[in-house]
Amino acid sequence: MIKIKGLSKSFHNNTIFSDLNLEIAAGEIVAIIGPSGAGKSTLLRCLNLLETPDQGSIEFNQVAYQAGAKISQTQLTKFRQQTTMVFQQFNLFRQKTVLENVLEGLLVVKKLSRSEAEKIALEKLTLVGLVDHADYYPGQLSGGQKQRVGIARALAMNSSTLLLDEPTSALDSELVGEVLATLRQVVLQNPNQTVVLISHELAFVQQVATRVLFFDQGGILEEGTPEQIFKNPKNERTQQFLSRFNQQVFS
Amino acid sequence: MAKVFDPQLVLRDIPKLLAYLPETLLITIISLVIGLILGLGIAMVKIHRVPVLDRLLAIFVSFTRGTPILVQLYVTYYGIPIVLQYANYYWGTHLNVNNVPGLLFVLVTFSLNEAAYNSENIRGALQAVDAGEIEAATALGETQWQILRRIIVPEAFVIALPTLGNALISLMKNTSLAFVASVVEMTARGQIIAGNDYRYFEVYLALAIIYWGLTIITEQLIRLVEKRITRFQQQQAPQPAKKVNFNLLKHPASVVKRGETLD
Repeated sequence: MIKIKGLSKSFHNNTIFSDLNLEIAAGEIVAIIGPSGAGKSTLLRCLNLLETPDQGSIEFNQVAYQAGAKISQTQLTKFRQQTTMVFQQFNLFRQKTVLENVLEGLLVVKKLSRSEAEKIALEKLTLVGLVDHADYYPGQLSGGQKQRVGIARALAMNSSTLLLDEPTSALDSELVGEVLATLRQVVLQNPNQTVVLISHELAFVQQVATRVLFFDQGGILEEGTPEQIFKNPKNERTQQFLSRFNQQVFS
Repeated sequence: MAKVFDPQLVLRDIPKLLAYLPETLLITIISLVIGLILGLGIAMVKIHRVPVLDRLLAIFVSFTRGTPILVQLYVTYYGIPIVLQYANYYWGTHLNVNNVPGLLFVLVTFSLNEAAYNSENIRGALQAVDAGEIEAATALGETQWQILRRIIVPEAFVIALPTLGNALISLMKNTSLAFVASVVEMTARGQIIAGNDYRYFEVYLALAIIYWGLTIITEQLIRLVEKRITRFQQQQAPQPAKKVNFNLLKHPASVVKRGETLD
């Protein structure tokens, strides 16, 4: 369960969002859609404190963060372990092999033994179809493969919430399919995993999300099931956004 | 006429001088290690803009880079005893002002000089580390110290290695100035030998050959290290992506439930 209360964030007097409230139940797949620059990524990055919120609180299964309150390194690590993130630009450790990338968090943060960690890492690499690339360096992989390593690295941490920050937007169109296929597989096969997803791949969102939030003008303007949002949007901004998307698809 | 130039003497002097190679290497390695640690510290202060300390260290770096190392050696040689005298006077300590080992002056001077020069290289390298990797490690839950040790320093080392390698070679050659502080290393030993038989040219030629050889060996070692730590850049072109079952995407959402296997 994720509870976000009164969350606000601004950069240099430019308010990104303010007084945001949101509850996400365990196992939900929540997709946040909206125009570029609306602050979707900032919201996601606040959830693991890569960005520090100005006000408000975030709570993951009784592990809470209150903006402005002092937080020890132990509390911060515990808070961050509630989530795991797949980045738009992959953010793989370029000096480490594929296997070492997946092992990193398991060995350093979770402090597992090498054999336990390797077992998990190889399992996750098998899941994303890259176990035979375990000894490769990121520089030797295609963009799609890099992102699948990013997914394996995130899954290995076994956090309660998976944060997906536009996982396909840095990929060439022919590589998007392989990453979406992997994501769809892992998301649908893990019913207990809560997922917060930002994506411009609206067809994918429609297929996997259990709830869709339309985010714009510093807040959530509309939310509902994929069917409600995509077939019968109520808000004018949502309608405009989706009609532009439909035009692009048909053109 | 006596031999104006005697190559035999060069060959005779080389082993005599090499007997003092450990001193040269000791000064080089200790100054290098301390210089790197202090340089990293100065770089961190600059990056985090620590108030006051930042300004003081900027003056220290400017002073060190703006003065000859020989002069710095003299400043240390005459300065440390004065500092000890003040310490004895104000804090009641009983430090022996006249018995400071010459090696200490040399190590202090070379370490600080290295720190000043390396700090700028290290700062540049640290700031060139991919922010995305730092974010990824942060998101995994690593502490700042773990990120510094496991991600930032190894990345920065790759970036800084060529300039740090040049600094190491300069440092090794500069150890020839240690005689100023009465430390007998290879050059000082050469002066002693030449003082005995007045064959200055042969001794200094032998010294030049040794320093040149050391520089070549160091360059080769740096190249080896560089090759080893940049393995991740040197391998073949990206492999073709594994064939993925795109049919996975063709399942309409309505027929696939969470927890269901898609194969």
